[in-house]
Amino acid sequence: MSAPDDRVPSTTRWGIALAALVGTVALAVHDPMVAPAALVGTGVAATIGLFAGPHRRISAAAMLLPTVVLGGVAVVGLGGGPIRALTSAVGILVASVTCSVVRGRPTPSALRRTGEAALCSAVVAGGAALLAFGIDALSGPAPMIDAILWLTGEGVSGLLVGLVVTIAAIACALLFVPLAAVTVPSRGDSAHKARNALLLAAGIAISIVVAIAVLTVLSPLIALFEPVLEPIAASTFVRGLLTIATGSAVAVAVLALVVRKSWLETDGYRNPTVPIVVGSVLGITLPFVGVTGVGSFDPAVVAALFAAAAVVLGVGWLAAWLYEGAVVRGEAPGPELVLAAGLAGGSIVAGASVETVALERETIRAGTATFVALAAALFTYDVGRYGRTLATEVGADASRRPQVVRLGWSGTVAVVGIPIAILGLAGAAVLAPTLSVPATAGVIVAVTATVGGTWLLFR
Amino acid sequence: MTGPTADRLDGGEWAVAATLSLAGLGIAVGSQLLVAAATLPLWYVAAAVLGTEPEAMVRVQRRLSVSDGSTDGTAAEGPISGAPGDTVTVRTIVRNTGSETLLDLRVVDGVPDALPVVSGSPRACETLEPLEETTLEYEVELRRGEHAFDDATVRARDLTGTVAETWAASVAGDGAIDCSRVVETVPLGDGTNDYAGDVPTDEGGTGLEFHSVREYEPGDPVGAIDWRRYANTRELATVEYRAERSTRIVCVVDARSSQFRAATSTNVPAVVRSAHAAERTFETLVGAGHPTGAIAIHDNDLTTVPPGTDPATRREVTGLVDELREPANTIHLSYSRTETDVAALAGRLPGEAQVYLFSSFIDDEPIELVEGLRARGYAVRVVSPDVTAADDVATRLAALERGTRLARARAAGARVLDWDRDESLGVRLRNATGEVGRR
Repeated sequence: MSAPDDRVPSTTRWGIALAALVGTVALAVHDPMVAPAALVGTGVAATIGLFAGPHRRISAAAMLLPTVVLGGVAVVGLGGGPIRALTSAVGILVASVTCSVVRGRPTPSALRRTGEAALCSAVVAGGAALLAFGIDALSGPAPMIDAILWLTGEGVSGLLVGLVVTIAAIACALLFVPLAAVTVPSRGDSAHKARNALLLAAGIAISIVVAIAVLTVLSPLIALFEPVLEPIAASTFVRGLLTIATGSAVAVAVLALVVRKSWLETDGYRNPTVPIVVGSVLGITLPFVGVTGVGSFDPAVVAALFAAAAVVLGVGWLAAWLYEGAVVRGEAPGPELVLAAGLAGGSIVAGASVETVALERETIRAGTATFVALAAALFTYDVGRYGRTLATEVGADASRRPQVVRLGWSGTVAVVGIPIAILGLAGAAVLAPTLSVPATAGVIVAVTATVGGTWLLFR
Repeated sequence: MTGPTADRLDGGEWAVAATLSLAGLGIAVGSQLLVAAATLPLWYVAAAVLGTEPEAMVRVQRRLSVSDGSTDGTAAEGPISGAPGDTVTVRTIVRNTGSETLLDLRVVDGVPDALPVVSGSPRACETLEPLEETTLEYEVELRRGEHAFDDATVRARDLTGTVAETWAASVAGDGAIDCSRVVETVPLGDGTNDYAGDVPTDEGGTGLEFHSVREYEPGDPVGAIDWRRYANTRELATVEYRAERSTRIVCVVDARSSQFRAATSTNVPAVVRSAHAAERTFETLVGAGHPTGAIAIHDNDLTTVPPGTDPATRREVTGLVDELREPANTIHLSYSRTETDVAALAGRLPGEAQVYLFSSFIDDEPIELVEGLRARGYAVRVVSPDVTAADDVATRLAALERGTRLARARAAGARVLDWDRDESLGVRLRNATGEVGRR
């Protein structure tokens, strides 16, 4: 007999998605920042979905992930306070999990790649944050670039040190790049010989530069060449070329080392390390260059933005790693449960933001967000349990009619309590401060006791 | 059918916990909104309280039919039968015979564990009005053996989804499938010669069924040219059809002294049943136009009738079979056969012939014969009368050993018909070679 799967049937899925949409709109009525946060959450879900595709999509996803996270950090940061930041975070969570409910849980491989991209992006974002701090400390990008260009020192000696560093970096890149990445197995021997010849040439070049350096120090005759060497040593163009060559060689060497390491650890034939690394680096570098190139942004803000993004991406890597393990072990909570928790969290945040109940617009908005989001959370939890049981007992292809009946019933139960809660709240507002919080709690206890008694009676 | 059991699936505990949590949180942070919101989960508690046991009455009926339409469960007596690998369509109709609407009725049909569901689902969840019915339609793939369907498991939930009634509903209609190969289903094998005939092969050539399109070669008949392709691409191509070749068949009857064993003292011995089956098979094959011969394996020699369709061949085969049916006329000696005998038998067989072996497999020599013939490339079909039906320990042990030998024969590539003694060959043998194999 065919084993039923654990995916919630589609009608129930769409019902849950509708409830999530209603809850998100209610939260957005209270705090408009939820709307852009939901867009960011949708972007996160779409990006994670892209990681399950071929390499081109993986590279696009790796490039989008840090960009989306930067946008999310900006949205949450622009909230201007912990409550709004929390509400925005809830909006991101609800939107991304809703996408998981509709489209299905991400595959373990997609989660693993997401984690790898998040880790890589976190490292690069950390470097970008340090760079931004440096720019801030040096009062602008131009002094920063200048400092980098002349890092090896001024004069002929600095030029020679720069040459040695550049040649060494190129030699490292040649040494670390796997030959399989640049040639086919049939030409492996010739490529090996060519690489050895290039490494030998690099060694000889370093030796010549060191010899020139020694002669510069020891021989007074070399002073004759100073009129020629000094303009070269003082040339910004030459230093720029050396810096670009050194940076490129170091980047290639690091990429080659990562690729070597990942190939040794992979079990499959296809290894998405290169698109992940390249996409992640571009996903951080391009926004950084764009933000710093505009010049209107405060370097301190840029540094804080990228540092926060690095932290979020690092946490994202940890979360993806843990969630992937839970999915593989079959212990991951269902997305419906997470969605219900997110909506309930948003409801609590909205409700806790209003201390004194009064018949005014802010209270109505907060009340709408609290009650509707909580009703959506309860509906999502109840229907999610129903859908999961239905999927286990019958399968994901269960017919629509009983699902619609169940959705209608649960929706009715969720909705019918809202006007009564609003009436109770209005009564509390009218009677305030007579009906204080403890008094309201007393009313709740009384209602609970009534329902409990009825329950016992029916039992 | 077992009695229904009612279970309360949800008592609303989670909603009570949510209420208490929200109320406590509201009191802690001093938010009247949260305290008021704590009433919302209580409605789910109330809904759980309102849940009552559904009054469900259903009638379940099952119909089985083999996918090719040759067998229909409604028309046949006894269990439905089919060959291994056949697909059986199962239609289980569930009808609400009660007076109340069943809002959430879940049914799981009792599919035998050995039969994989290859299409559709034996599970369903429906809402049924009174007297409304729904049909579970799915297909299972047959496996060797007899398979019985279990009762359907039915679960009805009320509107709130908090109370469920579960029971095993007895199913009217078909409930068993027999997947034991019978004589008429033993097909011709893939052994053919180079003469034209009516056994399709996997070679291209002249025939009726399309085989392939290849590049035109000079000398190909004009009628075989794909003119449409030529009109489109100006490239000549030749259409080939599946070549149909002739085949020759030899019915090998095991008439050694070990084959004089019978299931009981009142039953005929294996050799008589083998001779009877061989005769009927011979007649059917010759009637279908296949040159057929016969070889009888005695303890110390072989009696051979070369394949043919002429009256002389028929007379010789009939005489041979009649002789085998009268074991008293034959002197049987204790004699152990060796591999040389397999070679001797192979020497009497025409090249690329198909072999029908009739033997009870009560000892090891038939399996050695099958493996030897398979090693030499002959297509082998085995018809094995079962003479191990008694209940004593020795016979049961012999039955186990015989089953192992038949499994070895199947593993060697022979197609095996295990012929039970209760089955009447005369009734069942209608189309001994209705199916033909391909090379």
